[in-house]
Amino acid sequence: MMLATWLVGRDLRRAPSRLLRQAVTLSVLATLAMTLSTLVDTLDRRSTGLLRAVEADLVVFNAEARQQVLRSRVPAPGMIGVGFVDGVHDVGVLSVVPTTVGHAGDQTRATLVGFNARTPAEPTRVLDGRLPTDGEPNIAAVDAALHRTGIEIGDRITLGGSLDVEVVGVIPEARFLQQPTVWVPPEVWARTGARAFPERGYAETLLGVGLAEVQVGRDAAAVAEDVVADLAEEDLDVEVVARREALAAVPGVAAIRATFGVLVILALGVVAIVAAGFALLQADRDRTLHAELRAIGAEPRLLAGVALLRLAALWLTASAVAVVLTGALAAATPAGVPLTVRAPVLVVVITLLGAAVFAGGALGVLRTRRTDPVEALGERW
Amino acid sequence: MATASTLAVRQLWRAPLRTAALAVALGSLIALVVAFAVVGDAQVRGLSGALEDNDADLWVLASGSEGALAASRVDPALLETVAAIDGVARVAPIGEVRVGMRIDGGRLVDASLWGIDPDNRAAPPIEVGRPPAQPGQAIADGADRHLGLVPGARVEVVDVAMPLEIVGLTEGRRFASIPTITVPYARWVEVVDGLNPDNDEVFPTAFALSTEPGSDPDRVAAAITAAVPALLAAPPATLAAQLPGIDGLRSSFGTAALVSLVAVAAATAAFTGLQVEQDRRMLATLRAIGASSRMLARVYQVRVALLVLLGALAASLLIGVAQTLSPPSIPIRLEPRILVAVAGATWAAAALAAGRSLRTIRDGDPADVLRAPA
Repeated sequence: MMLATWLVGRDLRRAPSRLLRQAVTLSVLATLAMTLSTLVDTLDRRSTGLLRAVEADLVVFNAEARQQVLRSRVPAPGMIGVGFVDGVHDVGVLSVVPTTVGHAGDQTRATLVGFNARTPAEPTRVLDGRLPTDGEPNIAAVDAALHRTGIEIGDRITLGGSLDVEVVGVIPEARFLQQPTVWVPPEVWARTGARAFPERGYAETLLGVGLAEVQVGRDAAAVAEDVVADLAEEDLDVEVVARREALAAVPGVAAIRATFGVLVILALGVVAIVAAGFALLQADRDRTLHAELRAIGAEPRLLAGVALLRLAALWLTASAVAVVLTGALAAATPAGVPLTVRAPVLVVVITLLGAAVFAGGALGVLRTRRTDPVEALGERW
Repeated sequence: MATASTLAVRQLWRAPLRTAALAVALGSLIALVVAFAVVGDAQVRGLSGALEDNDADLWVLASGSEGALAASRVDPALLETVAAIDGVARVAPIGEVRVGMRIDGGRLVDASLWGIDPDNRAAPPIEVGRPPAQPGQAIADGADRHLGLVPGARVEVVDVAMPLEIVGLTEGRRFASIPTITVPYARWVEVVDGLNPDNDEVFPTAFALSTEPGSDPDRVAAAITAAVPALLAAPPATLAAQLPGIDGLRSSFGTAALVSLVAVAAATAAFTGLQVEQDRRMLATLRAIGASSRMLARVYQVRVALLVLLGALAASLLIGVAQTLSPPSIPIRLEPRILVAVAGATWAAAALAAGRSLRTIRDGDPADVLRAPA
């Protein structure tokens, strides 16, 4: 192995541009795979970021809402009842309403989120400043997407064209239906909602969705059934689902996963097959050379090691180039394009690409080892 | 040219496995670009077709909804106010609600139930069957035929004892990528009232209006918003483009198709370059025994064109198979225009790469190449 590494190292030192030349195709394929995976990941997260920002086990909707966060209206007494169900550790409320955010003359569409502080409805991470607490008048926290538009802590923003609030904190990006979010105490949400939809008669007693944290060791599904049964006794029809299910029920998410997601998986399959074919071609290219070396006594294991190490260098180079290209593409595209690079996505793609390259390379090496040196040396150029 | 073509065909014929592998690899990549372009378009239409292709001149939403149809509720008392605005010829309410339904007693599915009177310009056009003439009749979007939503089907809305009978089909008028059913507005009100028995009044989601001949819809829209600030009027196609998530989805599929196209072109070019590099010794030998470099270049270019053609054929085949096997949620179909454009771009990139690699062989001394180690 040492000798193989030394030989590959010498080869790279002799002609470093050769590796880059060979890495072009693989880099392009890796960039394609990374971009597509990042697109589907970002699209999903920008639809569901609101529910990902909190750390609840169960989401409570009123039955008529059919798991739609935007439609759900759970009566406040019902949510108090959830807190008393056996197995529920803590409960909070999250309510949303579409709004606009006015700042420095610009108007941005956003989702206004009313939430109970220090409950499962509170965002788990704060990037800067603090979160508003219940009852605090006219303050808000914005997510990183709004922060990037120039809204800073201490700035005043106008919600729904009429209500001025002060920004006291910034949380990580938590978009809902592709729109950035503003997090406010329930009272501010109720007031803004009432101004936007006077005819709907928003009241502080009619809330959005309930978020419940289940006690450690308790089965969330069983607790969900208990919540439904307990509230049914109070004539409240609710639907209680795991957070994962609520994420999938966000409008458009199922469709995105079923179409774009499946296409991206297909694309990754194609990229893997083409990358494997490319690696096979690379290993195959040195067949005659390896036959010559075997004819003069080189160890087949050493030659296989050299071929695979060369492919490893190729894979790492292509992956590094692809990470840079994908990052550059994400930085160059307008903010509206859902392309936010995340390390776990890149790691998955790099691993998949590595597996494909080594599978193709191993096949090529096997083919080379099975070749009779005399036959290879005697074949046409 | 005939000699070059014959030689190129023979070269490909002599190595059938390699040719097939290259054609399939190329075909897969080309099919991928076509799929992203076609499915992206279908997906956007599935989410917003009910608005995008609507025939009404303007739709009026609650301005507080910020373009989210699910959040829009318009006070029906404002119908007369809007009707009185200069330039408005006719205005009628429209309702949309998400319901659970069973088709012919089957499994529970989510559906978008619309209330639009058949004589309203916003009503979806009938492609098969007839418009609803009675309250219990409905039309559905043809994209959900596979669920059994065909004329004669019986639909039960969950929690409401008002069965509906499908009497007609429309096309391209889906909403939120779920089965979309349209009933007369009065029946929609009854269904929503049945779902929310405690409500005092059912509010329409929007108004659809026709403008008087010769009047400017933009001016009418501005007049409506000026008269009633709680309302937002806009052409339905504009509202469709502004629906939450549409922009992101459109740009995602667009970016995916574009990046795939660049990748196809770049990968094909790189493969071609690699191929020429592999054949360097053979090409040098042929030149050493008198073959003209122009002839060799022609043979290569014909070979590249043939490979791309084979790739496009493989792509057509793959898309055809996908069209047959894919679930209705992935509406893949062959779009010849897109296929030709992608194949053209792929061929251009491959031809450029081959030309570049062949130039180095033409400019070099065959003896140097043959003296170099294999």
